[in-house]
This record gives sequence, C-alpha cells and structure tokens, in this order.
Amino acid sequence: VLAPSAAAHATLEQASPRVGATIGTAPREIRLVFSEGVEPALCRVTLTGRDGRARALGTPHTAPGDRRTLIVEVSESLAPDAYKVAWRVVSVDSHTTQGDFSFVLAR
Amino acid sequence: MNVEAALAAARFAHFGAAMLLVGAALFPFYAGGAHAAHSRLFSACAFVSALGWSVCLVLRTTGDFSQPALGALFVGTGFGRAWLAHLAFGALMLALAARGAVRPRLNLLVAMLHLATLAGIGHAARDEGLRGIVHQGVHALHLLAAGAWLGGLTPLARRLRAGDLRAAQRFSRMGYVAAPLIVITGLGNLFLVTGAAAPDAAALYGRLAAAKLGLFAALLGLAAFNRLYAAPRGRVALILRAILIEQCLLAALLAVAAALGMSAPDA
Repeated sequence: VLAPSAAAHATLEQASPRVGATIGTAPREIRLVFSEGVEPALCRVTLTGRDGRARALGTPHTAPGDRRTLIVEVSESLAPDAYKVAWRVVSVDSHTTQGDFSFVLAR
Repeated sequence: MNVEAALAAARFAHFGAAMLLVGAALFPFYAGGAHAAHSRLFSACAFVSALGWSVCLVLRTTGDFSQPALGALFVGTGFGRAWLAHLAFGALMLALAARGAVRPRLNLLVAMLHLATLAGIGHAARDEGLRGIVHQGVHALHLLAAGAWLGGLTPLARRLRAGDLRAAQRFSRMGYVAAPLIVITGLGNLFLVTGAAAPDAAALYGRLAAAKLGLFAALLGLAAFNRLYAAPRGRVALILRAILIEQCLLAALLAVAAALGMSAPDA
C-alpha cells in the first residue's frame, strides 16, 4: 500500500520486492525507485516482520549515476514472514516524503 | 505556528530582503547618483530569515539538531552544501553592511551571488546535468531581474521625492530589460518544473503560477501608466502613489512565490 504524504514530491514509483508481492526467495536488498532524486544521507528505510522487530539493514545508498534509485542491503537472512518496508526520504530539492508497503516471503 | 507557516514566512522575508539588496546596489549603476553601503536593516533581515529558514529545513527533513545529523544535512547533501554557500554570501553582506563599506562593485557582486545561490536549493535542484545547469541559470536570472525591479523602487521613490524626474526615465529603461527577462525566465522556469508552457489551473502549483502572472500583468499596467502618462506630465505625486501600489503588488507576488517554491509541482 503506497502512502505518500500530502505534498507529493519524491513518490515511490517502483520497488523490489514489489509492493504487495509474495515472493519465494529471501531478498538480499531492497530497491526503491522514486519519482525524483533523493539524498541518501537523509533517507531512512526500515524492514519489520510480523513480530515488529526491525531487521538489520545496511546504509541506504543510491545506485551509481541514478539518484532516483535507493538501495539498502538486507544484512540478515530473512525467514518466511510478512514484512513491512517503511521509508522516509528527502528529495534533492529538500522535500520530505514517507510511506510504507508490505510483501510476503513465502515458504 | 507550524513549520510550514514559519518556513513560508522565512522564505517571504528572505527573498524580499535579498531582492531589495540587489536592486538597491544596482540602482546607481543605471540611474546615476551616489553609491551607498548595503542597508544594515535588510542585510540583517536577510541573515536572520536565512537562519529561520535553516531551522525549518532541519525540522522538515531530519528533525534532529544533533551534530552528526546537522552534518549529514548540511554537508552530506547537495542542497545542504548549496545552502551553506548561500549563507556564506549572506554573512559577507552582513559584514559589508556592518562596516558601512561603500564598494559599489563588490557590494553588487555579493548581493547578486547571495540572491542567485538561492536557485541551488529549490525545484531547480531536481534536474541533473546540462538541464540542471540551465534550470538553475534560468531561475537565478529570474531572481536577479525581479530583484533589480523590486529593489530599484525604493531608491527611485527617494530620488523622485528629491525632485529628480530623470531617475524615473532611467528606471524605465532598466525595466525594459528586466520586465521581459522576468516573464521569459518565469515561463521558462514553469516549463522546466512542470513540463508545460502554461500554468495548469487544476493544480495548486499552476494556480499559484497563474496568480503570479496576473499580479505581474497588473504591475506592468502600473509601470506603463507611469511611463506613458504620469512621467511625461511630471506628476511626481502620482508616480509616487503608483510606486507604492507597485510595491504592494510585488509584496503579494513575493508571497505567492514563497508558497510556489514549497508546493509540489505534481500535486
């Protein structure tokens, strides 16, 4: 479920794992593509399972030569569960947006 | 007061002061007369509003005033570094004003750089590469041309009150350059931000842009009235009244511009 804030600046256009998807293999990274460039130093991404525990993630960074794609490595191996990805990003023109979505890692 | 309202107020005061400083420093270069030091009041207003803007920037992005968080915001991001450069020019201007330094070229250069560096932190920062350079250049030119007009009105009124009608003629001559530049760069900006050549009335951003165009049209009407009716007849009191209305219109324009820069082009 996409939940952009009222002043839609950097909106989530694409995500991997896909928004609402059910996937069979544990993702090694989370990839978020936004409608405009983001400043990775100010971007926060969290991944939580049904138990509410935040899973260990790396430091968010943008893809080389593409300020719109934010990548964050998943530092622990994920067990099958329903996960929530919450993001809060600051665009290159200094506007903050946030949202979250879920995906399911099936057995 | 919420952060959005505080930021809008800080932006209004800051753009206004930065433009007044450019226009006042430029005025003697085309209208003759003595050069003066930067206004201490406007320089201080520009600097204080910039500090207020900085606080709002922190509150709107990280909300964290710890040293590492401030470092990430002001050094770790492109807009943060552009903002620091802008603040540096503001501090330099404040120092020049405090010293009462009458160095016409230096004063003008610092005021222009101070205003132009505001282009590095707005919507123009979204574009990369050549498009980014063009967009920031167009935005900077828009700010400078608007500053030349807005900031020139105060010294012009002073000159008229002293009975110098030729200053009005020279100001209009400058206006013949500034006004088309303001329109062209304004529409260029609109196109570069929204991808459309005309404001979209269905979007808030478009309505604000349309409001700016409407106010500007009224401003041009007043300028034409001065140039074609009041000035040739030497009606100084009438010109001064028209200038006062122009200043009110410009204040309204500036308020709309302050809101425009905060609104999302696609919302």
